[in-house]
Amino acid sequence: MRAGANGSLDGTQRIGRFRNASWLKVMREAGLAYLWILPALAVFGVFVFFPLAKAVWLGFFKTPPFPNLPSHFVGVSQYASTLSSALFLHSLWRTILFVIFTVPTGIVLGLLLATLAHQRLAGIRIFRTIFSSTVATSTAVASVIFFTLLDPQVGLFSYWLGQRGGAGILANPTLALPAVSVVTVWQNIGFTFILMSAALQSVPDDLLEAARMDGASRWYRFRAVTVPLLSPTIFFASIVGIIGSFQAFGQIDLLTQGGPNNHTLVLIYYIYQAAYTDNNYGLAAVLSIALFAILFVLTLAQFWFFERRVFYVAAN
Amino acid sequence: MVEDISSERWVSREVSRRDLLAGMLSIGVSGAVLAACSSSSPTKHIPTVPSFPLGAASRAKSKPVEITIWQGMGATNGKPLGYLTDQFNASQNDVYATVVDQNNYTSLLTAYTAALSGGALPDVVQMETSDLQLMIDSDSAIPVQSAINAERYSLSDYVPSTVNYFRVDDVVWALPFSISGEVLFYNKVAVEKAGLDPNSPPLTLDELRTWAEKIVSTKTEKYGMSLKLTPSTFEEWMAMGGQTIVNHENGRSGRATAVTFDDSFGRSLFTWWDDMVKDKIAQTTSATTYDDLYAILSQIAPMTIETSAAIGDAIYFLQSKPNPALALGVGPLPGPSSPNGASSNGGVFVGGSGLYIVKLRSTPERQDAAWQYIKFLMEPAQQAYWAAQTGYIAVRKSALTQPTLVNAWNSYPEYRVAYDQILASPANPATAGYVSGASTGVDNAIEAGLTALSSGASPAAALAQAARSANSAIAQYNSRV
Repeated sequence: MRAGANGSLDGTQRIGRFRNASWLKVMREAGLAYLWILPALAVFGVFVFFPLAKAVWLGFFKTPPFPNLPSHFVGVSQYASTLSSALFLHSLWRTILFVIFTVPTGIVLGLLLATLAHQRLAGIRIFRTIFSSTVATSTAVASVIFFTLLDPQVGLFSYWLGQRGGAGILANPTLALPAVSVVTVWQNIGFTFILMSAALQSVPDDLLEAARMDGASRWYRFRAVTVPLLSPTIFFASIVGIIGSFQAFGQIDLLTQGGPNNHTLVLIYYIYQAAYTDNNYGLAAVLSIALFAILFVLTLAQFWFFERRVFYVAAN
Repeated sequence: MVEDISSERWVSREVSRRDLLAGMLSIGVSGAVLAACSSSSPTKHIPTVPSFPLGAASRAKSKPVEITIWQGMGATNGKPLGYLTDQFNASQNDVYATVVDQNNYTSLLTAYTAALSGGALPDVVQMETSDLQLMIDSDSAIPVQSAINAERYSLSDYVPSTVNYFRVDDVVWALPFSISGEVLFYNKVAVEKAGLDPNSPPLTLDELRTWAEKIVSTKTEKYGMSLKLTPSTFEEWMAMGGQTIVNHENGRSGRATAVTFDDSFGRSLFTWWDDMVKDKIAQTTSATTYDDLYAILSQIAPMTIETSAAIGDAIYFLQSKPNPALALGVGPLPGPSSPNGASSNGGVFVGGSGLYIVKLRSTPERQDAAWQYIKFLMEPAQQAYWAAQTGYIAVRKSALTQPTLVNAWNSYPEYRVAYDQILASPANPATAGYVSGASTGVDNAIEAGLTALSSGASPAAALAQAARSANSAIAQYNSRV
């Protein structure tokens, strides 16, 4: 684009007979540019922008419980009524709680384990392998393991927590969301650990050495040198973590199905229920657009905020 | 493990589906008035049904007419159905039927819904009782009433409440097939140890509480009973008290627009439940598992209310791992009134499923073939075999004289309990069970209300909350059809 603009600027400075040739050049370059981005545009268009537009459009309709029946156009009223409904606000609040339970905990634990494993000790590789192993577990496997551990009849955790018998932890309105969060943190910790370990490797030893010479304590070195240098990674982990938590589905489907009493009905699960339990695609579309808007704003806000705070080491 | 979870889930979904009962023959006139208020069908009518192509299969140019049946029970009960289907195919030359196992009712409904927009549809579909309004609204099935009228087929030998479940506005939409009911499961050894008579189980909620108190006070077991957090028990109790769940006579005389359970009767049931749990004589268990039955086996709580469809599993388990401390007792469902017809207007409704004839993208030959197949399954001999093999209820009264069923019930009298209480249920809108396209939402709301009791909500507040979310689910559904 910039090349094209320059080209036309040059052209106006030349005498008239070159002008046409110059415009031709601009057009040709622009055409070439569009040609190059065409494949990407086609893929995005078909798989992202078209479904997005379609979802916005679908939100204007009351869709029937069965696909062989007609839809009714209701305009924006479905957006208004859904987004102000008690269930949507409840679901949004449960989602925010879920993010609060999972993201900071995951980052702190990942950083802690990475710091512990960042030692030159015999056999430390074994611990690194163990700490990162959950990255190899699927959500389904993690969920089934915890489902068994939390079972009210045979579960070890239920026994330790004195919750044996009865309906169990996953059916307890107070404990269900924290329990699902624990599974999520556990499953994500391998990924965070690997991220943090890699980042720790890149913290220059000379900086830490210099700080030590100046008499900084171990904790102060960690807080004032290591953490600022890790901030791009923490930034990355928090964005990925928040988006991941907003989209967490498998563990909720396998452990609680949104229950008890909607206490684990996070937005993504609400969308799933609307679409696939109630066949209510209009409602599901409205909810999806809401989730998209929330994630979009959140990501912009994170960039705006962290761009000012995050310390990037200059490449040299 | 995953398979276990999901199979338990579907069993319990079946439990949670209500059903059945009684006759709504007198509601035509009031129905016209009520239906005038309902959103989508302002012009209500005297029920008319489409004509039925009776005899089309035998007149078909190319025979046999091939039809497909989708069943949602899974492999275990699929076997006796396969046997009956083979019998049907061998019994005549006009029709050849093939059964497709869709694993469970949830995937069956998903597959069926998907096929409506343009895939291969079955000719006969087995749908859970609670999906009745969905099936009507889908405009994809021809009511069996059409065939009944065309053939002047008699329903007089049917157990009335099993057919009444599928009757809306005087039209029977499906014939009952895998019918079960809720019953009391208890450990005879434990209750005897507590000084109770294991041969006369409690019939009312008051008696049930007395039994539970006795079990706890004698320290026989930790709890007197398990209360499964499923909406169906509450719905059965409402029916036993002669109370409806939704308006317009439980959705039988017009489309339901609101729930009716948030009244003093509903509150008394929630209060009973809450007191049982607060006084620590009952424990609650998950709605989606058989933890209540495990509690009997592990001697934590010797009584629970479960679907009669679980009797077979319980008997099998106790036979394979005999334990002198365990002996299965099955009693009628205790409720606000006695389950054996002592109350004049209350009674249980049925759970399970019905068989529908699909009309969408079908032909007259295949519709008639589907009817011939369903009719064959409903004959007393087949019903006796079906009940004896599966533990479901025979829907024909004369099936009880068939040797197959007589022998089976002599060996396992437990199976008879659910049949007797369903037979005793009087015919009225309350005991027919409720119909609503939003039944999943209504059920979930009631379950959420019971769950809210455990986190400290008062019975009145929990019930009011349940009614609010059920009403919003109904409004949401009604706005879409």
